[in-house]
Order: sequence, then C-alpha cells, then structure tokens
Amino acid sequence: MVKKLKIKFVCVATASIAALLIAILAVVNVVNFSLVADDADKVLDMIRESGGQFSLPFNEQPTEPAPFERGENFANGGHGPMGPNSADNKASMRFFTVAFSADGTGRIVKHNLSVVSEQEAVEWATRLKNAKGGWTHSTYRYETYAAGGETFVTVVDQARELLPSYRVLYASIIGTISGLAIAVLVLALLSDKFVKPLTDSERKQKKFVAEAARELKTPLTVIAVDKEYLKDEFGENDATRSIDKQTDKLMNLTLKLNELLVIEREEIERAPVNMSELTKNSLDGFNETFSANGVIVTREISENVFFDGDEILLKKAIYELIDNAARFAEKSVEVSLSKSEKRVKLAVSSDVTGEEDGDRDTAFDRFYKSPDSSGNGLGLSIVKEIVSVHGGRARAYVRDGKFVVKIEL
Amino acid sequence: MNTENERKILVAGCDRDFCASIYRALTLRGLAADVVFDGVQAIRAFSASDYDIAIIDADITRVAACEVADKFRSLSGGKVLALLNDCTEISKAVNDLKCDAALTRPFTRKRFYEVIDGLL
Repeated sequence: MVKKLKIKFVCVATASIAALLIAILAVVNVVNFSLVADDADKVLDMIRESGGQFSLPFNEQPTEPAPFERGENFANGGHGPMGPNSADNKASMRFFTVAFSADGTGRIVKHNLSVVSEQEAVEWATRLKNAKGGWTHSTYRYETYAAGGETFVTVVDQARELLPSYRVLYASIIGTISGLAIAVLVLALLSDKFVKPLTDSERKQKKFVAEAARELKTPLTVIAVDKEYLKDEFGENDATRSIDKQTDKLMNLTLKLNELLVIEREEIERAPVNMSELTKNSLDGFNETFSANGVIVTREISENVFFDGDEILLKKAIYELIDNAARFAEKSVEVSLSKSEKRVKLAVSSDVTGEEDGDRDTAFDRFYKSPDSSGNGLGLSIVKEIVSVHGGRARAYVRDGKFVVKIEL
Repeated sequence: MNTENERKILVAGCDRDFCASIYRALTLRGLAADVVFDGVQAIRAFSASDYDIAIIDADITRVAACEVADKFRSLSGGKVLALLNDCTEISKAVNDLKCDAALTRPFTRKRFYEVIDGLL
C-alpha cells in the first residue's frame, strides 16, 4: 500500500510539473514565433509600401540613422542601424514580388531570392494568389494585395530570422524533458519523506484500533465466562438475559473488528474458487432464517463461475451480503451470480419500503446502521474490504423498492 | 499423569481477573486447578507437581509462552491449550507453542468447556 501511495504521489507530482513546464514551453515559443511573424509582416508592409520593390538604388546613401536605441529603431519606422528599414537590412532581404494582371498573367516585380528562378517564383506566386497570406513552405512569409488593377504576391524568406526561434524551441523541449526526468528522479528519492507522515498516521490509527480491540477481549471474556456463574447461582432472569444479549453484541463486534483488521493486514493468497458453490451453500445456510421470517428467495446463480481469490474471505463476503439481506428483507430476497467479460458479478437485493431511489454507498461505511437495525454496522464494511483486496468494486443503491448490493470481481 | 478423578490443570496467564475467571469455570466443572501469573511461576509449578493440561496465555510475561510450553511437555508430558488474542496467531501457536488446542479471545464458557472436554 505504501508503494502504491509513493507511485501515485510521484505520478501526480510529475504530471503537475509536466503540465507547468509544457505550459511555459508553449507560451514562450508561441510568443517567440508570433514576434517573428510580426516582424515578417512589418517587412511585407514595407515591401508593399514601396510597390513590391524594397530595393536600395545602388548609389543611394542610407538616411541619417536615428539614435542608437532599439526602441527608436523600431518605433520610428525602423530607420536606425538595427531596424528592419535600415539600409543593411534592405540589402539583405530575400524576397520576390509577382504581379498578376486581370487575365491571370504573372510578371516579376522584384526577384531577390536566389533559391528559385523567376519562372519558379511566378509558379509559386500563382499557387498563393488566391490565399489571404501567412506562412508557406515553413520558413516563407507571404501576403497578397490588390493595387492598380493587379494582384500582388510577395514572398519573404524568414529562415534566418526563424533559426534562433527554432533553436529556442529545441532547447526548451530538451530543457523540459531533462527537467521532467530530474523531477521524477528527485520525487522518487524524496517520496518516502512526503508519504511517510500519511502512512505513519494510518499505521498509528490501525495500531490504536488493534490495541483497543485487543484490550477489550480479555475483560469481555471474563464477563462472558462469569455471567454463566451468575445464572447458575441465581437462575435466569431479565437482568441475566440483558447481560447475555449485550455480551453477545460486544463479542460479535470485537470479532468483526478483528476480521476487518486482519483483512487489511494480510496479503491474500489466490486460488480458483467456485463462487457458484459458495453462494449456493451460503444461501442454504440461511434457509431456516428465511422460512421463519416468511421471506421468499429468488436465485439466479450461473453454474461453474470461478474466480481466483481467497476462498475464506470470499465465503465471508458472501455470508455478510446474505446476512445483511436476511436482516432487512420484508418479503423477498434476490441473489444473482454471473460472469461476463472475465468479471464475476454478484448481486443481493432485498425489498424495502419508504426508500427513495439512489446510491447508498454510505452503507459500506464502518458502523453505519439504518435506524431500525440491530446489527453492529460492520458487515458491509467487511464486504467492501474483501472486495477491495481482490481488486474489485462494490456498490449499494435503492431502485424500484429494492436495496441492492452489487459486487464485481 | 493423574488418574481420571485427579485431573489437574494449571492456568498460566498475566491478567489476574482473567485467570480467576478461568479458575472459577474449571472448579465449577469439578476440575482441580492452580493459577500462576508469569512464566517463571509456571515452570516452578510444573517442576513441583504433575499437571494434565497447561492453559497458557500467549501474552505471558517473564518467560515466553513457547518456552513455558516446551518445559511443561518435557516435565509433565501433558497437553497444552493456548489462549490467543487474534485468530491470526493460531498458526504461530501451532508451530511455536506446539499446542494441542487454541482458543481466541473472546470466548464463552460453553466454548471453553468444549475445548477442555476435548483435551481431557
């Protein structure tokens, strides 16, 4: 159980860290790539404003640069030495612009991209001319616009600008994976420390219950043995009958508490168990009780239903289910056992009146008792514990005037 | 070994009220019984007298229950009834104490008599 808790802790903590790291990775890279796209769009705007050319005449001198501050380089139209509108930047821009006339004929306006020929540039632009704009072929940013009766398509190579962004992306992915790996290692090493307080607390609780139960047993035995002496000496009367009843109740409670503690403690040994025979034999054991109370029992028990489990515990679970039904049934009890898709299903229901339909999983809580119950409230807790150690599940609900307890193994 | 009419039982436990209760149940049954409250007293008692049955509490102090049981068998050759707190201790009782019978608390007088009758 401690091992399961540690694994759960490491998984949950790792998932949380992974979610955080992935969120940071996503935000950083989305912002990064958005900024590159924004810069590319600014360049496309400038190309458009210069009629698709964006060229510096060979003998043109660059304009007086703005003061060397990055903010001003971009805010003032980017004319500073670092800005996109700088002479150096214009000279290094790799792009082409193709203009299409109304009849669809394309002509090169500007060709400054050596990886494609002019013809290839026209063919490329032809494929893009009806689109809105954006990224094409991963590293090229393009836009289309109409001017002077023609449709212009400008494609700008952003590979150089994207390279640092891809590097950031790869680095952040590697960083995230490394970070996660380190987190898993650290969490696994420290899981003992985090889980210990919980397991210590649970162990102390169980120890307390076990010791309390243990301390009750000797005095209870003294009462159980000596009350017989009183009856021998003074005969039976209301007082001795009351002592008998309460002693039986206490003994039953102590035995069941002990059973619960044992089930929680022990590793089960599995072997094939004939659930059909166990169920039938258990029901047969209650025949007299049912007859005496006028309860009609309906059985739908499939033959040869086998399950790998602890026979003693499973027998106990079936007994408690039927005992519970026998206590509360007014007129009828139904017991069904079947196996489908490798799961064994056992359902025991008893008729009830005045109960609304709905879940009743609180019935599995320890010491839970219905108002008119004479039991100790541990029977269904034992069922749930036994089902749980076998890896199954238990449900309780009321439907159509029946209280149903269903277990699935 | 004693004759049928002189069956003697030693009760060895650490809780005095509990031992007194067991003693009462035995004497009401017509059986002779002695009571001791730790393992040292138990061994002393075996050495001084013959007992047919030793009722040994698994929680006995000063000397471990299995050692008391071994000593009893070697000195008296009688049977051992182990009194346990937990049904999971039964296999331990059988292996370590090598007892002839075991009772888990709490138990009724009726159940106690059934076990004693089975040993006699």
